Amino acid sequence: MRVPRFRDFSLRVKLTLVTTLVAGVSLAIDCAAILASTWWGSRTTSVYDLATRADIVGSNCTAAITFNDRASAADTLKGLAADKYMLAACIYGRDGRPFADYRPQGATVVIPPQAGEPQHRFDGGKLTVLRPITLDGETIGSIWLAWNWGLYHSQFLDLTGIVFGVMVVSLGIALFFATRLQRVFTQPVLDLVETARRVTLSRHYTERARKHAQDELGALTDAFNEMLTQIQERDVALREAYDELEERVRQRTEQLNEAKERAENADRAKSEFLANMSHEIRTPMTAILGFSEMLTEPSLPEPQRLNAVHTIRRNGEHLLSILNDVLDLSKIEVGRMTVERILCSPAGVVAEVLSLMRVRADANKLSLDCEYQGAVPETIQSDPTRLRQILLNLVGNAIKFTKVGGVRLIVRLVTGEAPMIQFDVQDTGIGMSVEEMDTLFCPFTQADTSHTRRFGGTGLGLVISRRLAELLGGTVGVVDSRPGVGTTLRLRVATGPLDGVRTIKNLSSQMLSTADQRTGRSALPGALNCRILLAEDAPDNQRLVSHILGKAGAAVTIVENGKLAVDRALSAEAEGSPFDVILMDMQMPVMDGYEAAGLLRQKGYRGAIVALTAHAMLGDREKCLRAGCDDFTAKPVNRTKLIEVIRAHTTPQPLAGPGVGAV
Amino acid sequence: MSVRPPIRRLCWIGAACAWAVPSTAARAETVDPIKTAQVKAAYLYNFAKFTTWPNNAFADESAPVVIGILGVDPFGETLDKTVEGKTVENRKFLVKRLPPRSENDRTALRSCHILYISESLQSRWGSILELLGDAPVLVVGESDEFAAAGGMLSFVLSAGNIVFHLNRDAVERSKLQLSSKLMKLAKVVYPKEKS
Repeated sequence: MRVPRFRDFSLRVKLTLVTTLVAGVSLAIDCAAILASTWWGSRTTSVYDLATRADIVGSNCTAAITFNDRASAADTLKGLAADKYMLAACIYGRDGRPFADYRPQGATVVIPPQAGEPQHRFDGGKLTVLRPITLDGETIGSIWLAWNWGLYHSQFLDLTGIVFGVMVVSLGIALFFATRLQRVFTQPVLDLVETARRVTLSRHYTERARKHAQDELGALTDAFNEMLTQIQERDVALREAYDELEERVRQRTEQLNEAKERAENADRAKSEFLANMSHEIRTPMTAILGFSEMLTEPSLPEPQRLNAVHTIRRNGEHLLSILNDVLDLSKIEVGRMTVERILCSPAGVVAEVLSLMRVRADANKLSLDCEYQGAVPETIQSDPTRLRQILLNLVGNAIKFTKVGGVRLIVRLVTGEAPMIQFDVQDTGIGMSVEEMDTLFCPFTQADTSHTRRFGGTGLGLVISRRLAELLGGTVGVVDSRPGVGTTLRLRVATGPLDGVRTIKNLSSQMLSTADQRTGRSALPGALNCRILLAEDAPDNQRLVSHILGKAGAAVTIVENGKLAVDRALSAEAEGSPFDVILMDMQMPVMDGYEAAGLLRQKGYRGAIVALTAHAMLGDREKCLRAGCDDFTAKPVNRTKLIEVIRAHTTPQPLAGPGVGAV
Repeated sequence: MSVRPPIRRLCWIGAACAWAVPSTAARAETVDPIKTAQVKAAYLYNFAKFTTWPNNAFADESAPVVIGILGVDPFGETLDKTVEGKTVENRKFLVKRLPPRSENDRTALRSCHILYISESLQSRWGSILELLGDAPVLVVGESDEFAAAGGMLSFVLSAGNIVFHLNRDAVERSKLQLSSKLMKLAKVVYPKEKS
């Protein structure tokens, strides 16, 4: 087993040992010094004493020596008997020979026969001293004394013993005090050690070491406590940071989960949408193709033929509206849908909507009216086309889902920082349940899929309406709906700045009559009586359009592409029988409509050119007009609209009203 | 005695030495006149060593100790030889043989420091001593009667040895001081103690 090294002893032991060692060493040195000095001191003193005594006795014998009185001298020496440690004495004469001596009883000391030089000697336990006797400066003899130093010797040993004993006792006391007092040093250190150990084990940094005094150990304790405080703070900060991090991670995860869900939902919705769309498209296609097939049967009875045709037409129209809606929705979804911001009259739009819907309302024996609450601005900055689209959708739905009663359109201005114009569409229809309300604005959910079959429609109208409303700076929402009572839907659109805009009250009757007038006008039948040049490459369309226009009383000339159209138009003009209207399909091989129109205008052609375009986007309209067209109409062709457009460009301009561009 | 040696006082010894103890040393009887004279001369000389004169007894520091011989001179040149070159307290000796009839001359008498009065003038001892009075003169003579008569010291032949007797009163009366060491060597001391 290895002997433990001193420096590995405990502090307590070390301090005690060191203190005791120091005390012991100094005590030992002191005692040694004392003993040594006592030893030498006593020797010196003894010699001095003895020599002095010799001198005194000697001087007392001067007379005896001088007068040769040995008896007297011996007698004087006898006086030395008083000192029981005096071993012997002898007086020598001038010749150095003994004159008188003193020898106590039992003395074994040998008196030197001849006096030597004055000196002192320690011989064993004996101190001898030889001193001259002088009289009046003259040495007349000498005196020799022998003294027992042994006693002093033994007493010196006693002293040594006592001193040693005292030293041991002192050491003992020193040890005792050291053991006690070392606590002054070790207690703070031990406390510190203990605290440190506890803290390390428990990892609770709230503990602090106790400070005992304002010395270096106190400073150490302070520093230690300071460190603990720092650790504690850091610990707390760490914990907080950790918690915060955890919270953030949780939040992020939640957000990500939500986003994932939303993405998944969107994905699912899109898949559903596609599935639905596919279904919605196939359904009418099936009918169209089926009934078309049926029509090829040669021996089909007439009523059935008619029915087939009507079915085909109806499905075709339905398919068209689905396609339009899908296209609209797609455009909106990819953010390609743009809306205008032009001045338009809300009252005018409302009037148009009502006149367009009146036929259907009348057919269902439902009332249809509108109410203006308060003053309404004369014009607003918005997109009249889209506004009309939304209102047509809302009112159309209202009519669709109402069996008895009617539909009312309530218009009012909502003032505020961002003023809005509000259209409430109230019906006394079948109403909706809460679940139905939730899914109202989702694509292809007409509250109930059975509705689609019963009530028609694409199921996309409200979705589109809502999106368009948002694009117009507003919203569409359900105000109230109770099954069996009715529904109120609310549209709001932003009006834009209204500074300096006149407001009008009591509009209802006025505008209505105007609208009626216009509607009436546009409903006027009449032959076209004009020459039309049709530039169209698709044979079916050629047949269709020429059939429509021919039926309306126009003379139609067909060309296949833009180049031919330009040639024909110019030659006709040159011949003096120009065409009244050129109906230009914009997509044609060899030369398309834009180029042809442009070329014609370049060549100074001033006749009316109406574009026939499949693109209904706003930009395209402008494009056509820029290319040189005067107007345009969209494909698929609508007979009424087509005739209207032709008529517009073959008869004088009608009265001012909202934009006549047929959409 | 429980007093330890290093602390012991030495007055002990002094006290012990103060006791006068008569010597009883025995010697062979030889009455050699020259030897006797030598011894006496030596005594005279040595007496000076144990005598203290008052300051005014000497004219100055170099004044010698005058040994006056009154009457018959027993020493001869022995005394002169004995004291030749010797000093006591740095004073030389001067031996003066006083002329006859000096016993009447107070001045002459008082001019000595040590005065030896011979036996021949025994009848005049009284008047001489009277003339001296308390003068600081060491009066030395011979025979016991001399001391008894008032002489301070006197040589006495005893058992073949020269010893001396002492008259303390005489010493005390004068202005001399005699060392106790000397006095205690005296064999006989006057006045004798009345028992």
